[in-house]
Amino acid sequence: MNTVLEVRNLKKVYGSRGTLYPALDNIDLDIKEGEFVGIMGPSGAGKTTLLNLVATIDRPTSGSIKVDGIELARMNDEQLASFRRNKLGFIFQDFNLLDTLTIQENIILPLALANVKAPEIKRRGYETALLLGIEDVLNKYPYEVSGGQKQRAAAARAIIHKPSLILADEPTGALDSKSSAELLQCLSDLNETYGVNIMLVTHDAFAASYCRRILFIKDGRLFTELVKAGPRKEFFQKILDVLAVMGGDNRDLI
Amino acid sequence: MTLFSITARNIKKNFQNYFLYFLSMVFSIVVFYVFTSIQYNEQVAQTVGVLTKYMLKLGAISVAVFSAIFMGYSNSFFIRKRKKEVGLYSLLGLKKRQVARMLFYENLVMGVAALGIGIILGSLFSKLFVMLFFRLMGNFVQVSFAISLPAIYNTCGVFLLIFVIISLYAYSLIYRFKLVDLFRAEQRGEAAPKASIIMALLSIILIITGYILAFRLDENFFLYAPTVLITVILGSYGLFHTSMVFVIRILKKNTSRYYRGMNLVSTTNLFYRIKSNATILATIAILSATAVTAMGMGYGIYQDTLDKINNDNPFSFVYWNNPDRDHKVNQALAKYPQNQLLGSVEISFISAQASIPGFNTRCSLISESNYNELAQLKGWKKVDISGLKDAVWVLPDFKFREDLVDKGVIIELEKEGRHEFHTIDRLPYRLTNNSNTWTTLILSDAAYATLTELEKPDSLKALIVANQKESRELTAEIGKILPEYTWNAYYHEYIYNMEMRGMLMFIGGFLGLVILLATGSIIYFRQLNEAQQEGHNYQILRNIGVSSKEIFASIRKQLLYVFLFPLIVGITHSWVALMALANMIATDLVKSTLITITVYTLIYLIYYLLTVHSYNRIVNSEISWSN
Repeated sequence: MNTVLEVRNLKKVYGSRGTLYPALDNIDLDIKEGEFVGIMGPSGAGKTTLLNLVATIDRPTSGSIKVDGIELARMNDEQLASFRRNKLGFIFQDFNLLDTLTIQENIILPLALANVKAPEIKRRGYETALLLGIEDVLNKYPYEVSGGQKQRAAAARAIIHKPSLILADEPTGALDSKSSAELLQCLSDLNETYGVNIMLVTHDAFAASYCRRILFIKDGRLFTELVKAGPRKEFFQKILDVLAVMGGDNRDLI
Repeated sequence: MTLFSITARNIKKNFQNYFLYFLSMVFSIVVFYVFTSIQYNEQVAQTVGVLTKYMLKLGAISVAVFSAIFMGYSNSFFIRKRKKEVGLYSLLGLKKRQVARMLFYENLVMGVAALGIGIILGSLFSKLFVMLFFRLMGNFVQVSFAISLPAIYNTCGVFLLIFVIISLYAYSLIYRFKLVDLFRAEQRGEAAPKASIIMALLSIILIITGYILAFRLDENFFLYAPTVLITVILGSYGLFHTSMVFVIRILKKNTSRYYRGMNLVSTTNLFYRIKSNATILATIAILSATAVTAMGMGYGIYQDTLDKINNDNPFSFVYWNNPDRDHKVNQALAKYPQNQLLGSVEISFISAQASIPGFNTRCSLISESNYNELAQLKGWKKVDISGLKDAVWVLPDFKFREDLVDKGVIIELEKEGRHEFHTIDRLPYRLTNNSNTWTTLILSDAAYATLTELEKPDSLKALIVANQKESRELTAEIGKILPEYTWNAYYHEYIYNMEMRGMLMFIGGFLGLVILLATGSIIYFRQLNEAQQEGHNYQILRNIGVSSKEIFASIRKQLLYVFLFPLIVGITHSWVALMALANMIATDLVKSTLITITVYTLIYLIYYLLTVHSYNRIVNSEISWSN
């Protein structure tokens, strides 16, 4: 099975002179084809830093990140931009849809940027919307639809160009529980049915319970790993157990 | 920390944003001060006529009115831009009154600074400007440096009044803000106006009506001039509101273009705030039209002034002659050796009515040999009329009237009958300064002799003297000898034309520049405001993998539309306005208009580049401010 993401000895230090603050320390991480991996940890553990580094929005202090076998460290900004566009799909907590575009236009944006032919863009746009159940709101603007629909549109945008890896950063953070469950089920289906590779960063045990494997980070280091075996509810309980052991900031767990 | 120190900090922090506004304000003040100080300049007062002073006053008032509108607009815009900041101050417990006072201080500090700098620059350069003013009127005058107190009082008074009015307006804006509104970002897109074909057609019809009436201004100026203004302005607003929707709809329909790369983003950005964009673009189109027309008019009328004066006034003096007058004039000439007589000619002519189909005019008839004598003196083309029924036009009309040549022309004398001639040629001269001879037909000597038997000819004497531009004393002396309305002097026309044309050039040029600067700065702020609101969207685009280069290209393209549409409409309007003017004053303005448009476009281009650069700096810098 191919390795989609390969992270070795990843280190990120913030600050300059005197007040150095290590956000990530010696992280190793692999995501293989067809995986749905969760990254969990209390606030300040380094989850978002890890995500930003994989997303190439930030650069590591040392270590290597390979996506599809391509080393990211050696690319310049221009190459990184085209890498993000072709290989990665993003789902953010606050949706990050362009408010000047309709839902349909938001979804097809990656294809337009890749200069795909218009008829194909339309066809794939509709198919993807159908997959996520938002085909009825395609001609509306983001401010006219619900949060759940917005996030599903964002998910559609993330997968439409068939990227190697989907990065989801607290995608349920701004959703109510019903919408959260729907979105997570969608992501889970995408992963199981279409083999979409997903890396989900969250501090919400419920969201994490949809993943197949979870990595726990604490104080910038890998704490432990949990693999799903059995029903989701059981997995959810195990996650809570780990979090209890890990301690730290778990006031905001369900 | 006092309110005032917060104010000072705000200004310092926002200076880059304010810079263009400040610059435009200073320039307006300088121009106002210069216009005013020229009126109070003693040397000017001695030289120029009442009309020029009146026009300068009018120019100063226009600058003031325009500055007030421009500053009011910019100010309301700044306040709206800082809604959130105002909201934050309110939330922290500042009373609205205090917030308003803080913004008032900001305004006042900037206003007073602009006023101070404007007046200092105006005073420093006023000598230069007054000399330029004289130079444009054809005089090299050594102007002494003088600070004009009344001009300073006037400028301070007018602009402080404008600041107070604007500040009151700003007050009212702040009082209308509700705290909850202040925090709700302006996210909602504006509902796109309905693209009604009827409205679009109506706008175009309005503009075309305005254009047609512009060319018929001479028929009824006081009815048509305001009608033209109203129809063209209304039409322009309508055009931008409807046509932009149409254009963008068409752009969107062509999906193979629309779905290519960043086109999706730049097109929708234009569509997103279409209503306010349409209003601002129409305003800019009209302001550009005003600026280009003012500058084009000033320059068009000023260009080749000397040539025109020389062509219109081929002789230094022309008078209805008799032996007594000749004698007295010769005596006067003898007294001014610097204006020595270079040549003279006596012109005998008959006044008549000439008509060919579609053209009917008063004209003078002159004999071939008399004309050739005059042509010899002026170095003009001579004529040779062989046929008894042949005639040659001498007509200075700027449009070459080919249609008048090779036609049968019927001459009606005052007393006796109709005579038919055939026109064989046309010479583009004005025979003499005397208006009776501005349209002339040359006949063969024999034919002319026959007509003199039917009607007694009139006689004019035309003189050319040396240094006619410096013949002030001689002209004054001849004015004492000859009765009023019986003579024309080159010198009078020269002084009058140089003053009028120079003054129009001066006022038109500066007024145009003031409007241009203000227009540029309005469009600049407007786009930068949009950039700040769109910053988040560009951050998203960068996150999902759009490179800085692509974003820059997209900004360039998007702003090109914003700048190009109003420029094209504005130039079209001013082209029509200037051609209509050319029609009215019978002058060829094509070349000067083209030059003005080129210069305007170049300056406008600088604003475009500046805006692209600043827009890019805001949305495309390395700092990520989402999260």
